[in-house]
Amino acid sequence: MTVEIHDSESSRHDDKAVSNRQAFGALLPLAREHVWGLAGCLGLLTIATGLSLYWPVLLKQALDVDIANKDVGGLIWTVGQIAAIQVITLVLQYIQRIRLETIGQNVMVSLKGRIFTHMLSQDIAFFDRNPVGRLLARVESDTEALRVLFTNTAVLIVGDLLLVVGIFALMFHYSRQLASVLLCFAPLVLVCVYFFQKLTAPRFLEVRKKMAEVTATLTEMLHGMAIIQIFHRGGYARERLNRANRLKFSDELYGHVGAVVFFNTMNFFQNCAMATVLFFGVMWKDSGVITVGTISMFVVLIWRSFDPIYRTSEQLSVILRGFAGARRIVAILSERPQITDPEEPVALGPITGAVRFENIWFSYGGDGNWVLRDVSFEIPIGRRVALVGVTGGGKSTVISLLLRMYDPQKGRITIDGVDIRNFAKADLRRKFALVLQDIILFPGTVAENISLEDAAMSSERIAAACQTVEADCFIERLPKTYTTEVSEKGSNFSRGERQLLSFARALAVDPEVLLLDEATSSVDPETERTIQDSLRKLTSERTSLIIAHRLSTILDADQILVIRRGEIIERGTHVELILQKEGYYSKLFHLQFKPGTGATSYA
Amino acid sequence: MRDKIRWFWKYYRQYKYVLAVLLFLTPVQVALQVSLPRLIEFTVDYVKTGAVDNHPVAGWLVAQGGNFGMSAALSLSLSLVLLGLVSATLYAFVQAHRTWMNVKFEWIFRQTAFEGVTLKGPDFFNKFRTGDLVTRMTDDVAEKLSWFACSGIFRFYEAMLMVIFAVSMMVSINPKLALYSAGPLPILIVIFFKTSSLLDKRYDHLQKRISHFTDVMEACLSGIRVVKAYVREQAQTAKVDAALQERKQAEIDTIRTNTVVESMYFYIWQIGIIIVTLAGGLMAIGGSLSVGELVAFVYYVVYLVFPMFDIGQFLVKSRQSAVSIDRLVELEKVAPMVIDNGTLPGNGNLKAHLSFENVQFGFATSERKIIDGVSFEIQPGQTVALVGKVGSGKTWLVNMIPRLVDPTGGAILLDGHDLRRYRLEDLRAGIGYVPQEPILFSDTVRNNIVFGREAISEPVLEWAIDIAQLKEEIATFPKGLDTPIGTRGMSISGGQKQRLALARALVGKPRVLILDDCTSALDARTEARLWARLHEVMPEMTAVLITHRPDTLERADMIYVLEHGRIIESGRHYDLMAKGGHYARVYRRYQLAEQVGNGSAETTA
Repeated sequence: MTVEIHDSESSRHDDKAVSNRQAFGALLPLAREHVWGLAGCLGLLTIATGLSLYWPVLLKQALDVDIANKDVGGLIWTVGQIAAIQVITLVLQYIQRIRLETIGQNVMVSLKGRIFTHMLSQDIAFFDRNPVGRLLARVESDTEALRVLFTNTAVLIVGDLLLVVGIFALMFHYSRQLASVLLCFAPLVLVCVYFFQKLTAPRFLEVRKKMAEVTATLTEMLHGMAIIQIFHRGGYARERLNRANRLKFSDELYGHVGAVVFFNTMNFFQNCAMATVLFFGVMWKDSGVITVGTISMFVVLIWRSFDPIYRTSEQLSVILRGFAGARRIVAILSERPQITDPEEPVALGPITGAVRFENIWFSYGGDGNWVLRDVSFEIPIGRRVALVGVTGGGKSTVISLLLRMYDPQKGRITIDGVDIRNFAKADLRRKFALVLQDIILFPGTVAENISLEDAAMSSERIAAACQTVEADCFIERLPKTYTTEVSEKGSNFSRGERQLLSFARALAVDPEVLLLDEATSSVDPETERTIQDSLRKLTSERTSLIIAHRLSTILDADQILVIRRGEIIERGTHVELILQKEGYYSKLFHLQFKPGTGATSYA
Repeated sequence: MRDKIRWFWKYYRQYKYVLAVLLFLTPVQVALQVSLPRLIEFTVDYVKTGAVDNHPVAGWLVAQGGNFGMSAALSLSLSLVLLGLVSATLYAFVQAHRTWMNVKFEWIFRQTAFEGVTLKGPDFFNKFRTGDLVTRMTDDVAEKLSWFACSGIFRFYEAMLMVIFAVSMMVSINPKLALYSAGPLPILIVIFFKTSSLLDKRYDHLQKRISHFTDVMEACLSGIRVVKAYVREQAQTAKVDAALQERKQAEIDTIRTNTVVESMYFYIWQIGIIIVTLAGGLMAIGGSLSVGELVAFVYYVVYLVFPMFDIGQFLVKSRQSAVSIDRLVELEKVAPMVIDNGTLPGNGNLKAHLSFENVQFGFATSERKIIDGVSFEIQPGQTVALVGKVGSGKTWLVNMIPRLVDPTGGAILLDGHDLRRYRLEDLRAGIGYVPQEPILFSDTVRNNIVFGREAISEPVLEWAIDIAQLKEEIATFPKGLDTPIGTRGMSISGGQKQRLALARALVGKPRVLILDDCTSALDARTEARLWARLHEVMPEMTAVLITHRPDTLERADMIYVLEHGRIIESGRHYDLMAKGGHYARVYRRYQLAEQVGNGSAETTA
C-alpha cells in the first residue's frame, strides 16, 4: 500500500450512535438487487455439497462390494465415479465462488462509489472535522470488512450448515444407531466453539488496535528522536515502545494460544468420534449392522464434519468487524450538509455591480471565537482588491465565505445586491476561479489538471491559458507535453511550475472574478520573477481579490485592505497607506523592503 | 544463508529452552501421530477378520484390555482415544511454544531495532525517513519475519519429519503402494512454486490498481477546496468510478487465479486417495493388502499433503524473510555519530563555562561545512544570543552542546574538558534545551514535563511549571497534571506546547539552558511575563539563546552574528548598534516584525 490507511478502528464517527439493525436496514437494499444471483450461488453450493458427500458412499461401495466380491471392473467403475464427482464438484465450486465474488465486488463498488459521492456533497466543515486518512478508511477498510462479511462469511455459514445437515442425513441413512451416538458430540463441540469465539474474538479485534498503537508510538518516538537524544531519554522512548509491544503481545498470545487449545481439542474430539465408530464397529461386527465400508465412510464423514469448525475459527471477529464497519459507513451516509441550495435559486447572470461583504462576523466553530469581526468591503466589477496582514488574521477565511464553503454567523455577502445564499452553489462558484496557497495537483495529465477533467474544455483553450501565464515554456519541454502524467503530488514539477499550472487552471475557466491566495513559501529569484509576471497578466483587467504575502504583487491594486485579528484596520491604495508613517501597512512594507537586508528570510 | 542463520541464532540463543522443546518434542509428536492410522488399521482388520493374530501390537492391546475385563472393542478404541489425547496434548504444547515464540520474536525484533535507532545521529534520520523506518519495524517484523522465525522454520522441520516417518510407515506396510501413492506428491511442491509466482503477479497488479484508486480518492479529498471551488464534484466522481471499475476487474482476475490455485491445493490430494483406492483396492482383491492397510494408506496420503504445503511455504517465505532481515541489518550498518565513552561525571557541581575552539561541522556526504571555524567563550552565568539567517548554522551550533552531533573539527570544552570526556547521560542531564518546534508525546502533561526522569521532585516540577507560565492553565485541564495530551488526548495550543517544552527543559535544573527561538507562538503578554521570570532564573544558568526578540537581545551579555557557519560580528547590543553593521540592520527588522505581528519576522517573509 502506498497510502497508509489508518484509523479504521477508532473513529470520531460515533458508531455507537447507529445500531446494527439500523446499519443493515440501510445497507440491505444494496444486496437486494442481487437476490437472484445470490440464490443461484446458493443453489450451486447445495449441488456441490451434495455431490461431495457422495464419494464417501462410493468408498463404502468399493470396500464392501467391489473388493469383497473381488470385482475388478466394479472397482474401476466406482473409482472412476469418485474421480468424476471430484471434477464436477471442483467446477461447480469454482463457478459458485467466482459468481459470488463478482456479486460481492459489484455491491462494494456501488457502495464505495456511494460513500465517496456522499462525502463530496458534504460541507468543507466536514472535511475539517475528518482527516483524509479517516475518510479513506471509511471508503476502503470498512467496506472491505463488510465485503468479507457479505461474501465469505454469509455464504460460508449457509454452505457449512448444508454440509453438516447433509453429513448427518447420510449417517442416519446408513446407521441410525451410530449416527445417534455421534450426534452426542455435537453439543460438546458447539459449546467449545461458543467459548472459543467468546474468549478469543474480542482479543483478535483488540490485537488490531494494539498494533495501531505500536505503530503510532513508533512513529511518535521517531519524530521526537532529536529531543529524546538531547535529553538522553532513550530509556523513556524504549519503555514507551516496550509497553505498546507488551500490550500487543499479551492479547495476541492469548488469542493464538486460545486457538491452539481449541484446534487441538477439536482434533481430540474428532479422534474420539472415530474411536466411537470403531468401538461400535467392533461391538457390532458380527451382527452385520456395520461393515468395514460403513466404518470407513463414517470416518471420512467425521473428517468432513469438522471442516466447517476449522473454517469458522476466525469468523466471529470477521463478523464483528463487518458490523462495526457497517455502522461507521451508515454514520457517514447519514451526515447532511448544512450549506444547501435554496429551494428556488435566483438565476445568476453576469455580475454588473459589485461583490459586497456587509458586516460579516464569522467563527469556525460557531462558538464566538471570531475569525472575522464586522468585516465590510466591496469588490466593484473590474477592480482589483488586495488583502494583506500577518498569518492567522483571517484573510483566507474571506475567500472561503465568498465561495460559500462556510456561511457567516452574522452579516451577509451580496452580488449585485442579492444575498449569495439565494443562488445555487454551483452557479455562484462558477463565477470565481480560486488559486490556493497550497498548490493541489491531481493524478492525471497536465491538460487534465488544467481543465480539471472538464471534457468540454478545448485543448486550444488550455494551451492559450498556459501561454498567457507563460507556463507553455516548460510544458512544451515535457516528454509528452500536455499529456504528460503528473506524478504523485506533482513531484515531477518544481514549485514554481506548479504555481504556474494553478494560474493556468484559473485562467482556463475564464472567471468573472479571480480569487488568489498567494503562496507564502519563497522560491528562487528567477522563478519569483516569472511568477510575478504571470500574476500580473492573470490579474490585469480582471476583477480580483488577492491575498498578498509579497506586497510587490499588489502595489497597483485599486484598494488594499489591511486585516489584523479579523478586523480591517486600514484601507486605501498603496500610496495612501504608505503615507501613514506609523500605520500598520507602512511597517509591513518597510519590513519587506528595508534596503540592505537582502533576503527576506531573516528569523 | 549463513549470515541469516547467525542472525536468527542471536535471538534463539536467549530461548534455548523453547528451542529444546521444539527440537525434541516435535519428533515425538509426529511419531505418535503417524502410529494412529496403524491402530485404525488393526481395528478395521479385526472387524473384518475377527482375529488379531497378524498384528502383534493389536493382540497385545486386546490382551491387556482383557486383563482389566475389557472387551476387544473397548480396549482398541480406548487405546485410540488415549493415543489421540497424548498426541493432541503434545501438539498443543509444541504449537503453543511456537506461537509464543512468534509473538515474542515480533516484540524483540522490533524493540531491538528501535533501541539501535535511538542511538543514531542526524545522518541516519536523513537517510531513512520515518515512514520507511516504521514500515521496517512493523510490516517487515510483524508480517514477514516473526511468523517465519519460529513457525516457518519449525513447521518445515515438522513437515520433513512427517514425510520421513509417514513414508517409512507406508513402505513398511507395502512398498509398491507407497511408491504409487506418495510418488506424485512432490509435484505439489512444484505446483506450489509455479502458482505462487503467478499469484504474486496478480496480487502485484491488484495492489497497483488499489493504490491508483486510493491515490485518486486521496487527491480529491485533499484537494476538496479546489474541487468544490471549481464545481468539479461530478468529474471527480466519474474519475473515482473509473478507477474503481479497473480495480474491480483486477480483483475478480485475482480471485479467479486464487480460486484455481486453492482448489488445486485442496483437491489434488484427493487424486492421492483415488490412486490408493484403485491401486490398493486391486491389491486387496489380489490379496496382497488387507482392507485395514488400505484405510491406513488413505490416512497417510492425507498426512503427507499438508507437509508439502509447509515445505513450499518455507521455500517462498524464506526468500521474503531474508529480504526483511537485510532491511533490518541495513539499519544497523549506519554507525551512531556520537559515541558515549566518556568517564567524567558531569552533574552537580558544573560551573558551566563553555568554550568553543575553532569548531567545525559538516556531513561526510557533503563538501560544504555547516559550521566553519567558530570560536568563542561563555562564562558561567552569562547569557549569549546567536543571530543569523535561516541556514546560517545557529541550530547546529547549539545542537553540539548536548552532543546531538559532535564537531568534525575543533572542540567544545565544558569547564575546561572536552564534552566527549563526560559521561553522556551526565552531560545531557546538565543541559536544558527547548527546540524551535516543540515536540510533545501523547502522554500526560506530567510525563511530558518529567520525561522519564524519576529523580525529579514535586516542588521542582511546580517551580518549572510556574516559571513556564503554565500553572493557571494546567489547573483548568480536566485532570490537571495528569491530563493526557497529544493525538489521543486533549489538544493544546501552540503556545502551550512551547511552554510545556520550556518546563521540560527547566525541570531538570540545568546548568546550561539552550532556547532555540522557542516563544514564537506566545501572545505578547504571556511572552513578556515568561521572559521576566526567565531572566530571574537565568543568573543561575549559563544560557545560549537563538532569538529575534529585541528585548532579549538588548539584555544579552554577548551577541554573535552568524553567516555561512562563521561568526561575522560579535559584541554587546549597544556596541553593535553603534557599529551599524549586520546586526544593526537585523535588529531593526526584528523590531519592525515585533510591531507588525506576533513577533515572528518569518510570517511576513
